[in-house]
Amino acid sequence: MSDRDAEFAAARRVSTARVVLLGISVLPLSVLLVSPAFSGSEQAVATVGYILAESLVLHVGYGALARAVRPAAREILAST
Amino acid sequence: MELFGLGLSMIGLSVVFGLLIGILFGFFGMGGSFLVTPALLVVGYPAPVAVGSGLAFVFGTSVIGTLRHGEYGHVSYTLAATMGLGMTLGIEVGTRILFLFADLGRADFVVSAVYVGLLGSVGLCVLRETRTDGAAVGAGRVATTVQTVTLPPVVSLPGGATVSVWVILVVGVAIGMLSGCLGVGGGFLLLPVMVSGFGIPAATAAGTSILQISVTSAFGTFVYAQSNAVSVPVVAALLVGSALGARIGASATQVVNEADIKGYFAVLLLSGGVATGSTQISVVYGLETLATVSTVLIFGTALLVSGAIVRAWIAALTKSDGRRESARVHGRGE
Repeated sequence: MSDRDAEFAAARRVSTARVVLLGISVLPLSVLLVSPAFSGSEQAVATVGYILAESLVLHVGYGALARAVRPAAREILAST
Repeated sequence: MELFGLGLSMIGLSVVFGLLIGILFGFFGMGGSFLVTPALLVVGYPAPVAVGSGLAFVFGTSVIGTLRHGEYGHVSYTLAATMGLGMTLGIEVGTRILFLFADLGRADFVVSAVYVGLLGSVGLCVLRETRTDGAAVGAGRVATTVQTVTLPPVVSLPGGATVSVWVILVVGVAIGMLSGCLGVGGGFLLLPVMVSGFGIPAATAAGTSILQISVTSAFGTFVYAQSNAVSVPVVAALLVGSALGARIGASATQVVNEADIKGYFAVLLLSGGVATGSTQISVVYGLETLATVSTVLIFGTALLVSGAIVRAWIAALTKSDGRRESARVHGRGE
């Protein structure tokens, strides 16, 4: 595979990932926005919204924590 | 002391159990969902709340899983949309069935009985896989059989297969019903169905199934939350632990051989089935000791298997870091 093909494949993967991530964010949110019109259950919407928000916060938070802690952890493991 | 209507000890237990489940899920790529509902049943939650909370947990982990994947390779949107539609219908039907059993006062028994069968059969499959080195038998034959159904409309899928939309819908409804009834994501069924049944590549199947599970479990959570059958504090605590555990488990896959530990995982699934069954027996016959044994069994085996993964991971890291350090010292000496 040439460099250009590899670049094209990588760009396509990134754009696919973007579409998927956008879908993940937009679809549940759309469900949340549309569903009250049918059921009027705000508490259920809040539950889904809360879990979605917590998942996003945990993903970002643990990512940052892992980046900060990894070098120190490696050092400790190397010294044992 | 209570926090959000939940005792501190229960919050702590949920975080720790979430951590163990997360390690298993991150390492094996499955087992996240179908251990949470039995565990909630074992600690005494009613079946609708255990199933609803299980689905909410699946929603959270699948969103994190989707974000962690970052790049999927490929996603078949046609398959995701068609099967997602089927699964949504199935979840609605499965939820109604469960609430029907709840009205009859039989929900705990039915869910526990199905879980005993499910955990037992998946556990035995994993055990067989470890003995046969995971060799897939007859996968191509199943794909060919599925493709002989040509009822229009048909869709072309990645991998070159052409499958009837009706077949995808029926499979989606069936998995959705299981998901709605038991609170599982269905990934352990979706992946083999997509790869062996529809003949699509494993990477596409993984990307498609996780996207689909995120959307359908959001719907399932919503349906159960409408009936006030989701324990948000428990799900929140489980997610705090599992998000961290999944990172540890995923890192461990890079240095630990899955085949070395898969046998333990099979034992964990089987003991989960035994624990769920014995909880029901303890309720029927009023045997308090058996209930305690069930709790110890499900939490103890989860702890043992996760512990084995972490131990192997630390040993592998220490070894590789030691080797790198020694190479560096030798390099400097020369």
